[in-house]
Amino acid sequence: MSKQLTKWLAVIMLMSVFLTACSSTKQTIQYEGDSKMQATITVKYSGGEEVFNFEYGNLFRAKYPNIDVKLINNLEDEPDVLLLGFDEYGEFLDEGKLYDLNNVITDEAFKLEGMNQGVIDVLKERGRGKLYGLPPQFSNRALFYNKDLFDKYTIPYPTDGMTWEEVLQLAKRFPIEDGEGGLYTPSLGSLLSNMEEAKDLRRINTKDMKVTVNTDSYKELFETILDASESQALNIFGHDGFAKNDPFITGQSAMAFEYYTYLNNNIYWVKQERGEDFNLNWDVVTAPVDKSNREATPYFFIPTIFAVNAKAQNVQAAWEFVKFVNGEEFATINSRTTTNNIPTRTDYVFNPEGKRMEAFFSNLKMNRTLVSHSYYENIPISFLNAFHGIVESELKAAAVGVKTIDEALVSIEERGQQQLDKQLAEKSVEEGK
Amino acid sequence: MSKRLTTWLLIILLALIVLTACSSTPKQTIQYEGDSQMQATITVMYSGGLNFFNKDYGDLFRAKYPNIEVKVVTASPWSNIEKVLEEQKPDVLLLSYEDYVKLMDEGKLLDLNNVITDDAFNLEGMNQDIIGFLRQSGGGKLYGLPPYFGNTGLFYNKDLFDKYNIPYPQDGMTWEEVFQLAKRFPVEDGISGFYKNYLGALRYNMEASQGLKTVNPKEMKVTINTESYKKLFGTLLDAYQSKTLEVKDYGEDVYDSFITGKSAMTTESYYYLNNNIYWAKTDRGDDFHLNWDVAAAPVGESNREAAPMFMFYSIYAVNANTSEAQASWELVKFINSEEVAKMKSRTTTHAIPTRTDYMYNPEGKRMEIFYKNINMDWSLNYNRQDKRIPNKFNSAFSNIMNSEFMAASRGEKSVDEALQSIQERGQEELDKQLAEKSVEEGK
Repeated sequence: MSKQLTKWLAVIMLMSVFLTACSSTKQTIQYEGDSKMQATITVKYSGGEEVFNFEYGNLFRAKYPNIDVKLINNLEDEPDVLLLGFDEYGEFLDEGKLYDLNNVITDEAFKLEGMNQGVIDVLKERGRGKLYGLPPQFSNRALFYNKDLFDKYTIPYPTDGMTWEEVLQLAKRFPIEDGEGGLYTPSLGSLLSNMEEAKDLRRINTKDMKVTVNTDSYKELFETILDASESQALNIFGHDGFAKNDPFITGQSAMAFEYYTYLNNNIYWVKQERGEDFNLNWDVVTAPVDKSNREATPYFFIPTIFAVNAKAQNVQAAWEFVKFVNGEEFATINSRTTTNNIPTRTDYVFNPEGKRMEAFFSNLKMNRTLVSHSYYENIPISFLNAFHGIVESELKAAAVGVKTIDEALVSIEERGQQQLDKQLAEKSVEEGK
Repeated sequence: MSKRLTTWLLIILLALIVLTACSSTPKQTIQYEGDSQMQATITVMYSGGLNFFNKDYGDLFRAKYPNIEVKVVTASPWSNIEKVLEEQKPDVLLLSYEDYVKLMDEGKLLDLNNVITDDAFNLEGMNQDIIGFLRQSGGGKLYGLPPYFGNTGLFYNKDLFDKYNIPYPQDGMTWEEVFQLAKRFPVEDGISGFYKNYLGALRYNMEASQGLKTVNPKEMKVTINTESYKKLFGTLLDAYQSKTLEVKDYGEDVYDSFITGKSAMTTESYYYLNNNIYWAKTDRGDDFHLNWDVAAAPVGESNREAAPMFMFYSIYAVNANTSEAQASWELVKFINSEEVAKMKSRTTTHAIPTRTDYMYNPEGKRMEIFYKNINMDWSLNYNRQDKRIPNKFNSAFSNIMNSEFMAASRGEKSVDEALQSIQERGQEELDKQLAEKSVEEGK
């Protein structure tokens, strides 16, 4: 060829190589990259470096010594790895902001089937059949019970799929004289919240910001709670959330409705502290439900989903991180002690005493909590606390007989609305600034 | 006499004896005081369940009547009484005033007149306005007794009044007069003359004081568009805008603006003593310096001698179908006795003892205002929600009133415009709720 043509060919070749390299928005990733690869990835994480390292960083670095992980807080900086709430996950995948991980997630080596089907189904449904991220853990609650107390009074143990009303009936059977009681709850307000969630009752209509508790459903709920409180089925023990000596732990209450974290923070914690002296003979059944649907899992929740940013600088390394925290190896290591939340690879649940842990993760279904978490976004947080106080004071007045339930409902709604309007006005003033 | 006649006479005599014996209907005659060792099992309706009952009365009762076993049916005076009677068949009943009258009319309550009026019971020691009214409701007879009742008072902070040289509130003041007094407190010093936790309650007190109804239940018409209501609304608005009136909800926090000495007055039910004042005193001990007293709740101009907020709470009665009339009466008598009233006078109670001499009053406050001028017909006519009006309407309407009030307070509309709006929106809401109610009932 002529010298000029060669020159042009060279330029064209270089350019196309250059262009191909640069225009690879859709980098193809392999299931398993080189574990010695050098890379820097950014992870959007707000929990602080110490916690991150403890939870993920140290273990990750042990396997991938040359991947440098930097924590950032700002979405605008386009982190490689995103930790998303369920709503955000949905929004981002709709907007094409998440890297499509389907090819690699389904690799045999990943053992996707080892992850809880209920959780995966929820994510697939949201992603129109596709997965764009994974949660190494998820959240749920269960009804803890003290077998010895049930045996002592010859009361049959609670069973999976009981309704709240049935649980309260069971709680009533425990005598109070000896200081022992049925169901422990930090307050009437928290029992109210728990039951509301099971019944999908909303105290606020967020479309028009109206408090909606003066309804037949709420009246029935308040009557149930009042009845439980008056018949002393409840053992009310208020605390700041950090107490390790609640009535269930101390063996005074037969039942407690708690998150999975109760194991980590309370049961196993106290066991470690007291050793042989701690003889709580506990087990769990599935969280109480509403009679309209005994199969429901109203408290099942996915707090954090790990995903790869479609705009990630180093997709392979980012994927390695997401893969690692959701992998079998990671789950195995974590299975040696209790964890904060339930491992999505439920075979690796920490369960040295062979308890009915499946109560936390069997038959998980998509529920309203997952679908409409944005319900809470527009409600000022301070309102929820204030509302609890209002409900407590009105229920108390009804309990001692100075008000009827109807009157209490009217007052709760009036006071609630007054409070909500006030806090919304304050919020908009704040935001106006 | 002939043999035949004698035989007939004997037969008649025998028949009479048999008939007299057999015709003793369940109208068991009870004595004022039965044998305290009597054996019986009775069931009592009680809103607190067995444990509350025992703490309240049961333990004391057992000490006196060791062989009467008391079982408790958890039900409040606001329960569906027909259902409770049918399903649980309690011997001793806890009734609202409405249920008391209803069951009495239906002959379902045991006649207690003979025993109640026994000297030993000291019926005169019970508030005569209340007893007189109950008797009137029973055509001259008493079928039950209320150990407690409810009322509202005007609480005021004497130190604050003294500090600013303002004369204390008097019994028989109207709301306008109370707010005029309240206005004299300097807002610039961070003191509000009057405090209330939520507007709805204050508005309700003001309406009650004048017998103003916001809804005519016969015609199901909202009746806001009146001169009287306009005046009430105007008074309230003025107090609110000038910050004389402070409205703030403290939830279940007992230390509200009155308790913490930031507000000079509030109107509250007797329950406020137990729930807030004495509670705070127990909590803070010597650090609690609220120098409070009470005046009669504000009234309407047309009737300065009224107790607009008087309320019946529970009335104890005996089921006419009981097979343990004597033991049941012993419990009713015991609960309403001087002995129990005296025992309970050592601490605060949620409501006012009908034996008002035994009201807890360690600091010698003007507690008599709580049982002054109890004009029964009037307050019973006014008080408690009219059952013809759907309960959902009550809160919806209150919220309409609040939102219009707030709009007026921000200068977004005039009082007339706000009232017109309330009238229209309120009527619309009422019509809607009534339609829904009849659909529900049609099912």
